[in-house]
This record gives sequence, C-alpha cells and structure tokens, in this order.
Amino acid sequence: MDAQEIHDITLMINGKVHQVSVDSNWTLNDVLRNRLGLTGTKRACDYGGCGSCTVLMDGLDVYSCSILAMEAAGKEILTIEGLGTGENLHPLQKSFALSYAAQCGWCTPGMIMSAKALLDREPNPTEQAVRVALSGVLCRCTGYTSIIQAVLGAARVMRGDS
Amino acid sequence: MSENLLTVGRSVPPIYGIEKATGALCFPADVTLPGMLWMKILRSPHAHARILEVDATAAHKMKGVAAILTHRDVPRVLFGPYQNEIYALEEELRFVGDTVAAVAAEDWNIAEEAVRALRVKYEVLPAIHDAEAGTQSGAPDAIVDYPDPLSIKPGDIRADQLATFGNIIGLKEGGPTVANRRGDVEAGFQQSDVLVERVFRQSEVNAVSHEPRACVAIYEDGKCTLWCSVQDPYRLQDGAARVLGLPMANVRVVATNLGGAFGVKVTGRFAILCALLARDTGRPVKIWFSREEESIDSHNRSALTHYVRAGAKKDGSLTAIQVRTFLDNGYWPFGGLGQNIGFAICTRPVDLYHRCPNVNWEVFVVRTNRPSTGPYRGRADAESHFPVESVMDELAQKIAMDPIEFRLKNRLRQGDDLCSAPKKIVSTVWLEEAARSGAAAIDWQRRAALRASHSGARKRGMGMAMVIHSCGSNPAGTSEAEVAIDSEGRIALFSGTADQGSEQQTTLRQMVAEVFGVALDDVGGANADTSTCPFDSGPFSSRTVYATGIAACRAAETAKSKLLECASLVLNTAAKDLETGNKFVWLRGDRSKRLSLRDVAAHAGGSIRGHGIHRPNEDPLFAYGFAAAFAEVEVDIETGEVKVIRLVSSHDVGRAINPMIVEGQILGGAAQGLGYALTEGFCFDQRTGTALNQWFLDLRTPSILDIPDIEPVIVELGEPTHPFGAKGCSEISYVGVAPAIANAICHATGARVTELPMTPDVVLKALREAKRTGA
Amino acid sequence: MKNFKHIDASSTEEAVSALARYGEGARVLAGGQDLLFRIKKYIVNPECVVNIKTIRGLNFIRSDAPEPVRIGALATLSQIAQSPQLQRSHAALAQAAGVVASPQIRNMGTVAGNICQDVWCWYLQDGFSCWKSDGKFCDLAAGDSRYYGSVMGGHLCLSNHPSDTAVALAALDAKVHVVSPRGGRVAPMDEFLCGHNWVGARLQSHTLELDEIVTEIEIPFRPTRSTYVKFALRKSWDFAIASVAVSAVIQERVWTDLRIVLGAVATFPYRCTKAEDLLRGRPMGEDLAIAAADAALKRAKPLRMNQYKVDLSKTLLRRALLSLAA
Repeated sequence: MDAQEIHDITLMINGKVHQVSVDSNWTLNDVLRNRLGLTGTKRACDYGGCGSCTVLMDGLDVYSCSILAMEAAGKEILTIEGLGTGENLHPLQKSFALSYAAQCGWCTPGMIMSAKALLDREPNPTEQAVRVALSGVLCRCTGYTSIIQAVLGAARVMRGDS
Repeated sequence: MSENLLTVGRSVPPIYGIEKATGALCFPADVTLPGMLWMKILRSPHAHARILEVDATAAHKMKGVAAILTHRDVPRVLFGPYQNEIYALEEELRFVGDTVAAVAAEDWNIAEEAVRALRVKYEVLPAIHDAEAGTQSGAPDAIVDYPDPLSIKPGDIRADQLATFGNIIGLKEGGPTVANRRGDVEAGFQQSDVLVERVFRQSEVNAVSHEPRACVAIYEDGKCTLWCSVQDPYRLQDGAARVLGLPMANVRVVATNLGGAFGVKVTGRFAILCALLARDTGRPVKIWFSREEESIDSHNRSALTHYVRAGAKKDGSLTAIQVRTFLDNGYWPFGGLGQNIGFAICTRPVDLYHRCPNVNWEVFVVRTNRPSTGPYRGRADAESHFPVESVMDELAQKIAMDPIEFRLKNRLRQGDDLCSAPKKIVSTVWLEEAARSGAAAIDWQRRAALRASHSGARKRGMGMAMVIHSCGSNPAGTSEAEVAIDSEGRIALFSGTADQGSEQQTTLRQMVAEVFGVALDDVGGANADTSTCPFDSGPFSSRTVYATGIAACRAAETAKSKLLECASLVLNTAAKDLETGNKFVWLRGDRSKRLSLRDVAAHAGGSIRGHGIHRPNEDPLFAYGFAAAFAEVEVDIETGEVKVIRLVSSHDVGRAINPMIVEGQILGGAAQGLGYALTEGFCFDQRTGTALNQWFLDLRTPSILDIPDIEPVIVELGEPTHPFGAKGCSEISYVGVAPAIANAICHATGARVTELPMTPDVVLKALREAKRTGA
Repeated sequence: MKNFKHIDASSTEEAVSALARYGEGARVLAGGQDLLFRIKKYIVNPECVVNIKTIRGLNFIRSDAPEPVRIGALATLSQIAQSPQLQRSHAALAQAAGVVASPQIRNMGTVAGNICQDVWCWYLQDGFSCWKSDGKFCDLAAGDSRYYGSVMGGHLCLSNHPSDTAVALAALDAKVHVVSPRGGRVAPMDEFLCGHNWVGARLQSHTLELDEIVTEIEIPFRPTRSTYVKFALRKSWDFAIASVAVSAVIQERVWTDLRIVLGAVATFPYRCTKAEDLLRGRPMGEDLAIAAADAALKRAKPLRMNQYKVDLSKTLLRRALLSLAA
C-alpha cells in the first residue's frame, strides 16, 4: 500500500475558509466532525441510508458521509452551525425547537438542512412536497408528523404569512 | 382536571429543543478531545468459536497504532448489564459479531486497518441458530463457558434458582423457563363453542437508534470519566470501577443526552474496553459504532414462535388460553433479560383478559448463537400482543361479536389482582374509555360497510387491538431525585435519567415547577451525570415520568417544606401557614406578607435541598397503562402490498403532564410499531448465523413517505398513585399497531397473517392459504 | 476506510489513461454514492480512485427532436428527473431517475453511475466468499433470495441488477457511448448490460473494459408513450423488488412499436420480446395484457425464496400495459 495520501485543500464552510490537510480517504463528514469540531452534522449509517449527515453543497442537499473531503474542495458548504445559533435562530430551527419536532435530535440537523434546500427553491410547498423533499432523511422518533408541521410552519413565517 | 395548574398539563416547549435544532447539543458521539485516539473492535466471523491465538505483530507495527487488547490482556473481572455478567473479552465467541479484540489508533481509518491486520486462529464450534432447534435433544450447546453462577452477587435470581437444561434457561426442576397456569385449560376447551389454533412467528428486530452508540474515556490520576451512550450510567459506573479496580467515587459517567435508545443502550463491552484503553495509553479514547455494529452488538427484540390455542363461548366469554412460546435469547450466558421478558410475556396479556378462567402459557427462553435479545420499546408486550390480539379477533369473528365488545367483556377491571405483579391489584383501568374514544376517532361504525365499498384488487378493512403495558410501576428499579435551591433562589432538579429523546427532563421539571408554583423556566438542573445526580435505574419501561416523577415530586416537596420552614423563621409565622407561588413565599390569605424565593434562599445559604425516592413495590396498588390501536388498511391482493390509510392510537395516560410531548411519544411509537408490522426484521443466514440484512437500507425503518395519517388520542382520567395522576406512555403506542394491522388485513381479505413483518411475500402466502382453506 | 491514491481527471483522455495505468487497481468515481460504500466496507479495495466529476461539460441533457436525446454521463439523476423535456418525451427515464434511492443520492448520483452500479447483495456485503469477491460460489441459490435474487437464472452470480434507470433506458432503446485510450464505441443497452461477466479478475455487472468510461447516453426520439413502475418495500431508498418499463406507440388502441423491460428479476434489465410480439399489431384488452404478462415471465426459474417476484412482475406488467394503453 502507498503511504498515506495527504492533500492540502481549501474548504468553504458556513462562509469561512478553512485550509485543511486531509487524507484521500476522509469524507466531508469526517472532516466536519473530527477535524473542524462541527459536530452538529450527524451520521447514523455512513453510507447514504439515513440522511442525518445532510449538508448543503452549492445549495443542494447532499450526504456529507458519501462525499470525499477532496470532492468538496472549492464548493460552498452550509452546515447546521451556519444556519443559526441559539441567539439567532433560523425560522426552521425555531419551529423545530418549539414544536417537539426534534425528539432525540439526531436526525434534526439533517432534516433542517434538507428542509432549507426545499424552502430555498419552493417557499410555499405542499405537504406532499415536504414529504418528498425530506424523504432522504430518516427519523426514528417522531413519526414525522411534527416535522412536516414544523417545516410548513417555518415556511409560513419565512413568507411573512401569519 | 379540576385544580388550577400553572405548568402541568401544558404543552410547553421542550428544554433541549433549541440545542437539538442548532446542532449544539453534545451527544456522547460528539465528544472530541485533543490527543484523542480512536478505538475499533475486531468482530467474530463465526457464530460459535474459541480463540486459539491472536497474532497482533503486524498490527502493532502499523504507524499510528497505540494499543491492542485481546482476551489475554483484560482483567478477569465480571461486570454486568442487567443480570448478565460478562468479562470485557472472552476466549469463547458466541455470535457472528462477538467482540474478539480492540485497537486504539491515531485516527478512525488506522484503527480499522489495524483491526483488519490482526491474525486470529479460531476453533469453530457447533452453533445454534434457532430457538426451537436449540431445544431438540442432542442439540449442541450454544454456550460452553460462562461465568460461575456462584460468583454472582447474593440475591440475584440466577444464583439460587436458575439452571440451564441444554440450551433452555430454566428453573432447577426443568421444563419451561417460566409458566403461567391457572384453572384447567382442557376443561376450558371442553366448554368452548369456538376454538382457534394458530402458530405465530415474529422476526427479530433492532431498535435502530440513530446515534450509533459511542464512548469517550479519559483516565488521569486514577480517575476515569466516560461520556457514553447508555441508559444505565450507574451500572456502567459500577462495572467500570470493578474492571479498572477503582473505587466507584473515581469513576464518572455522563449520559445526559442520547440520540435515541428505546431500551437497548445499556452497559456493554465497548465502554469497558474504551476505559481500559484510555488507562493503558494515558490518552482520551473514543469508540463510535458503525451501523452494522449498532445492529448486531445490541440487544434486539427477540425472534419468537408462539403455538396458540384459545376458546370462547357464544356469549363472548373466553374459556381458555393455551400458549407455548419459544423465545430466542441470543448469546447471553444466563438470560436475566430473557427470563424477565418471558415472565411478562406469559402474564400481562393474561391480566388484560383477566376474566379468562383457564390459562396455561409456557415460555421457553433458549440460548442461541445469535445477537443478544432483550427489552426494546414495548418490552415483552410487542412480543405477546401480536398472537393474543390476533386470536382475540378471530374468536370474536367466529362468534359474530364486535371485536371491541368481545375484548371488553373479558377485560381486566379496576381492583383486580394481577398475575404479572403477584400480590398486587391494578390501580386504574381506563381501557374501555380509551377503546371507545379511539373507535370514535376512526369512526368504527364505518367498518361494516368499508369492505363492500372497495372492489377490485385493492381491498379495504379495519382492525383494532387492545394493549396493556408497564407504565413505570413495574419493579424495574429505584429512582431518586434531588431538588436544590441555591442562594440566588434558583431551583434545580438533579435526576439520573438520560434524555434519549422523550424529553423527560422537561416533564419532570414541569412537575417540580408546579410544586413550587413557578414557571418551567425557573427550574434548571442536570441529568444523568453520576458525579452530580442521585441514582436512577434509568429511563426504561416507560418509568421516568411515573417513578422518577414520584421521586422528583417528593424531593420538591421536601425542599419546599425546608424553604417554608426557613421563611417561617424570617416572617415569624408557622410554616404550615405559608405557601409558595410566583417565586414568592407568602402567608396563606395575606399575600402582602411575603418574601421572595431569593430572599429566603439567601437566608438559607444554599442549604435547601430535598431528596426523594421511589422504591419498587412500595405501593400495593399497581399502575398499568392501557391503549387501543386502530388501523384502516388497503391490501393489494395481487401484489401483497399493505397500505395503511389511517392509524388511531388511543391511550390511557392518567394525565398528560405535557400533552405535546405525550402526543409526540404516541406518534413516534406508532410509527415504529408500523415498521415492526410491515417492513423490519432480521434475516439470518441459516448456515452461518450471520444477520444478513444488518445494513441500514435493509433495516427498513419507515421513511417519511411510508407513514400514514396517525391520530393520537389521549384519555386523562387520572392515576391515584402518582402525585399528578400520570402514567408512562412512551412504549405502549408501539405495541398495538402490528396486531391492529393484521386484524385489518384479515377484515379486508379474510386472510390471517401470522408472521412479522408482513412483507408482500408473507401477505401473498397468507392470501393463498386463505384461498386454499376457503376462508 | 483504506487509503488510496486520488486522481482528479480534468479530461476524458486523462481519466482513461489513468485507468489504463492502474488497471484492476483503479476505480472510477463519479457521484460516488455506490463506490464509497463499497470502499468503506472493503467490498472493493482500489489502489487508485479516478474522479471523473472534475471533467467539465459532461453533465448535459441535449434534446433537439427528432434527433436523439443525448445525456452526458455526469448528468445527475435529479437533473434527469426534473427535466421538463425528458418528462414529456421520455417519461419512463424521468420517472425512473426520480425514484432512485433518495433526493440526496439523486443530487450526487449520475446516470452513468446508476447503470454501472454493482449488485446490492447481502452475501457479498457480509463478507461471504462469492464470485464477486474471492470465491467460486453464490449463496443466493439456496440462501435468502427474497428481495435481491434473479428469477431468470444467471451466470455465476445470481444477484439481480439493481438499477432503476437502466430498465427505463433499455425500454427506450438507448445506446451507451464509451471511450478508452483505444478510441470510442457505442453499445446498445442489451450489450452494455448483459449479465455478470468477467473483465480481468472482476465479475462485473456491466461490460466496460478496465480502461473505459461512459461519456454519454443516446436515446432515440420516437413519438412514444413510456412509463416506469417500481415496486419496493419502502417508498424511499429501497431498491426495486420488481419494476417494469414499457415504451410504445399506440395508435387507435393498437400497439405498433413497443419495448417491454423488467427490472429486479434478472442479472440485467430483462427485455420481454415474446410479450412484445404478442402485443404488436393488436388492440389492447385485459386478456391480452394477461397473456403478455404470462409470456414475459414464461422462462422464469425462481430461486428458493423469490417465487412471489414472478407473480408480482406479471401483475406490474399487466397493470403498466393497461394504464399506458388507457
């Protein structure tokens, strides 16, 4: 086997530039969680079966576990930490937090990022559109009802409806 | 409810909500420390084998490998999840996936490469892959070595009562592991007008907690701290201390928030090995399971086979129930888990149908070379209600009685004695109220016309099931709580229970807030940290709101009486004349005579603390939760597809302390129950014992596109043994879904599905069988 | 995950020359949604990964009727599913692309990757010795074949081909454009996917040589109707247990030109020429649909646990034919 293949790459995460040395076999998820301390992005399966690792890459929702760190070089990455904080919540975060749409909280960042991708392209989705858009993130706790309502509620807030 | 309550009964937002929605909440898997090593486990490729030799030479030579542990390197000290005590590593391997060795390395990839570089020689032993096969004479032993029963702590049931006959875990006299007998079943069958005989098979399922379990250990100056995904941090504290040879005071376990648990995240080898590696390397060590490890190195809901016979009279009275159950206990040496579950299986449904005079239910708990099985959401009751509720429906059908009325006629009533809790009587039974409310919600009246209204290949039907389930007062352990008021007047609740998603800390703090008459925001606290919180046996069996809730209310009442005593000295009045409210202590009847909580607390100098305890068996009244599940389905008789149109899950919860959380728990439990009903289930390779579908894709938990409209119904008629009248409710909603769907399928098509999960191939088989027998 | 050399190819020439250099040690990374799983689980152990997603200009969808539609190898499944043009002219493909796995996988996964993906087989993934690992055995014949086993037999490996889009593309008579250092070739779908076959020491599910990559897919434009129907246990993520793609020209209720392909029943998208012959020139009716479905599965040889897939496929086909003709 060759020695470790190490590459210096530039990652743009939540509007900040990070210079990181990565092994060729590190995923974007590995770098976010294990090297940059961005543990808001979760992981439940590590091969695209759960969605808890969902982040936005150039505006599209993707699985950070199934993208090599090197593939993410030069792309705009948005994680849950870049969406909002406790003092400055994004409407989706507020909606999830207040309505018990986050039970254990493990799928929540993935759900919210996937919902963000939806609302960016469709500010007024139907319930069915929400279901389809979130069908790449599994939840084991809620039965999804509260999640769908939270997304629809946040969409209303973002559109300025009462 | 008549009282005017401030917080209890209100849907206040959960306390951890914002941290969960921002990703700021730190789960054990999120703990990352400077200089941390990554641990990986080598797992057995054989269902049953003995390790002859581990050659770690190549792995040791790899750059970045810090330490390797084999069975020769770990202390010969037992530690115990539940009543099953094991060693950190053993020479005998008992299932495909058993722990062979552990490596700590500089990063996760190196650790994995090092594990793969370990060269192990195995002596392969004959294995048992199926519970029933394990009971045959001449079957090989699933387990050869096991810890000497005499080394177990005194008082443990195993030590003096349990023995193993072949692979059957049983009482010393032999026979089934547990049995529940009353009356004379043969006489009962003689009296019956109708009889049903069926065989039911249920697949093993995983809880699929989304956070794969993790542990981060640090060991410094003879002190060890573990952040670990366990629901039983105190048991881990005890076990780690024993194996590390430390006093318990030197071991701290933190398990504040878990990414789902459902009963299965318990002390295991992974955490003990992590602690040992931290000690050996002097550096922080982290293990984080892969999904496949979470699938198999967990305890799953057992695979079961039930042979059922039941009879009833034309007037709807049950005459006899006879069941023989084979329960796959997996690889655990003793079966404390299986024995408890076996007892609950053969008693609780019998309590539900208390009027049935003749019962003989035998459970054989069998050791096999498969993953460990044990309690997972709806412990024992998901296991037993599927056959019982299926058979009840069939009996009702045979005597042309409404399935609800048939069940209610035979049900448990308030004050009845319980075979599932000997010497106790049931406190409240709001089952009929739950069933009637649920029936109204799904419009049960439509049932008769529903079948006729859909022709063609897609048939509609409606079915229901009734459920009894523990709600915390089962003797699962002790709960303690502490309530403290600091000199600033801030109230804090310290509880040993982890929040695994059910936000019990919110509910507990609501109750504490209510005792003091303050808002939820005025109560802080900490949970599931062994260094600051008093003992709790953990959030299992829907027990937290009930048992820990009683302890928390008692702690709050004690703290409050100390507060009032202190205030009485300042106000120069009798404590009994004082009351609290709105962050003040005031004179009853004259609120102008008052002191702020802060002023009283400043006076007390942080000395106001109350301790509360709830002990199992302290009350002769026993609280049970009851539920009724209703399903409307559409069955495609050509493809075998079952589409659930609607679920109604109706619950006797005593009182909903936080209705939003209660509804969330009901919805989530029903969704998991839907997975158990339709898609989830391990497929084991019969040749090797491998769990073939351990991949996340093939665990097939329902996606957002698979969940129907689910309606939760809450019945609040109180429970006198709890200070606010609450019962636990987080597991019971799981239980009734599978039988309700099976009954709806039968109503729609006439086909009785007797296997879980009810996948298209299984449904098609049942349809063929129904056609053959002319049903 | 093991370490490997990572090469970002900036052109097809660079990609195929790297592949030629590393031979069996190389793997192609496009969307990576299948490959990374296989590397992580040590199912494949490449010395070198050649990333072709860095090749510019390979993610096009060009439609200029009546010329064939041309789809670049790196067009994502989301692009295809959401293309209004394809939804109109080649509905089966847009439908198939839209039901692959999950939205996130469709955002990264490419059409070329989807047709070149390897089998989803428990025995392979669980480390059993098999034709696709280091052995000479397939456990599916006697083992658990309930979801992912062929019902049409197979050569060595009995795992069914898992792709959704390949079934639609075969029904739409697509051709695959391939390049290597030796030049280009064009392969019809039934040549490109024809069961498991040896390429060097690899038992592959497609016929790409080690130094070849797909560059584009060409689909003839015909004024046809087409449909793709997928049956899976869950409505997200799951591979098909059975699927059907049909494309046809139907005039006055009479089938004139049609292709029927079944998915998840064979080791390749299974073309049903007998059923096509039966339908051609006849007016549609329930009896004819039943006869065509029977003809389509006449040669079925189900394994121990997947007999039901035969009946299921017949039902799906019958319903697809009737709905397309309606």
